[in-house]
Amino acid sequence: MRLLREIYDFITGGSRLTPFGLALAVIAAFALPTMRAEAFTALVVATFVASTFEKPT
Amino acid sequence: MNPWLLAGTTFFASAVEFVEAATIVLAVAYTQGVRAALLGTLGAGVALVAFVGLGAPLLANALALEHIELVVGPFLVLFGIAWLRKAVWRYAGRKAQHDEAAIFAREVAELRADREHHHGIAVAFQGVFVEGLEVAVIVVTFAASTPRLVAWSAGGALVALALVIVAAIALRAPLARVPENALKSIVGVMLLSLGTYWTGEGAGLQWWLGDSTLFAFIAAYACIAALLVGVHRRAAAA
Repeated sequence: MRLLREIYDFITGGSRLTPFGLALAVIAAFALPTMRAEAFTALVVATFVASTFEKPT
Repeated sequence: MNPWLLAGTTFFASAVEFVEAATIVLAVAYTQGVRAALLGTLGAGVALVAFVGLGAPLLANALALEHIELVVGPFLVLFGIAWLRKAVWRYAGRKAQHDEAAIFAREVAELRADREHHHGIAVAFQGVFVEGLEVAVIVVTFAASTPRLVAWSAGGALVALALVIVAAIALRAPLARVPENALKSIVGVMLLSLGTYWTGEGAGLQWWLGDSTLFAFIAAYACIAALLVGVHRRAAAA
């Protein structure tokens, strides 16, 4: 369990938010009928911005 | 993909990590002898070379290019956000600046408390392996997406390694003067931009400016990060 946690922290930098934000962006890139590039980019940028408001790790 | 951009990204990413590794290796050499430091470093170097050597061809052979971009891109986005948000926090004062001098002093104190030779080897191995692993992942993923540019990707990392080794030998002290947060900001912007571009391309998106969209991402993320530093500074001061 501790190893999994360390791998998670290594990949995400300890963020709880970025994997979900990125997953949402990828789903939008595949699922939306129009404006896919715009929605994907906006969601990735929003994920980055929101992640800076998490508690510093 | 511009080969110079690729080599530059791996160069900056590698330089940051190699400086951290060099600090630990120097602390081991200072307290427990050069032999222990070199043994640990060589062991970690072999392990990392094996990781890069096996990982790149496996990825490149297993998947088509667009699938590789969809696999690699999200990892670059995650790494990029992790690096860039830490740089933003440091510039804004929400997180302490990375202080190689303090790390060096702490390592020396811990190693002096433990005179075991093999402990020094283990510390050097762990330091070099852990710091090098992030670089190895970047080199492998970049090489997987653009197999013909593998030499550029690895070359950027090797040049950084050579420069840090020369600096470490010349200085024989923590490389605290390297502007680490500036390097981390540059690398964070590059990784996030490449990750966004590749993930989108892997998902079949048509980018507005074609390949030049990548440069638009670099400029946009740099501006957003600078704005966020200001926002967090004001929030911290309030």
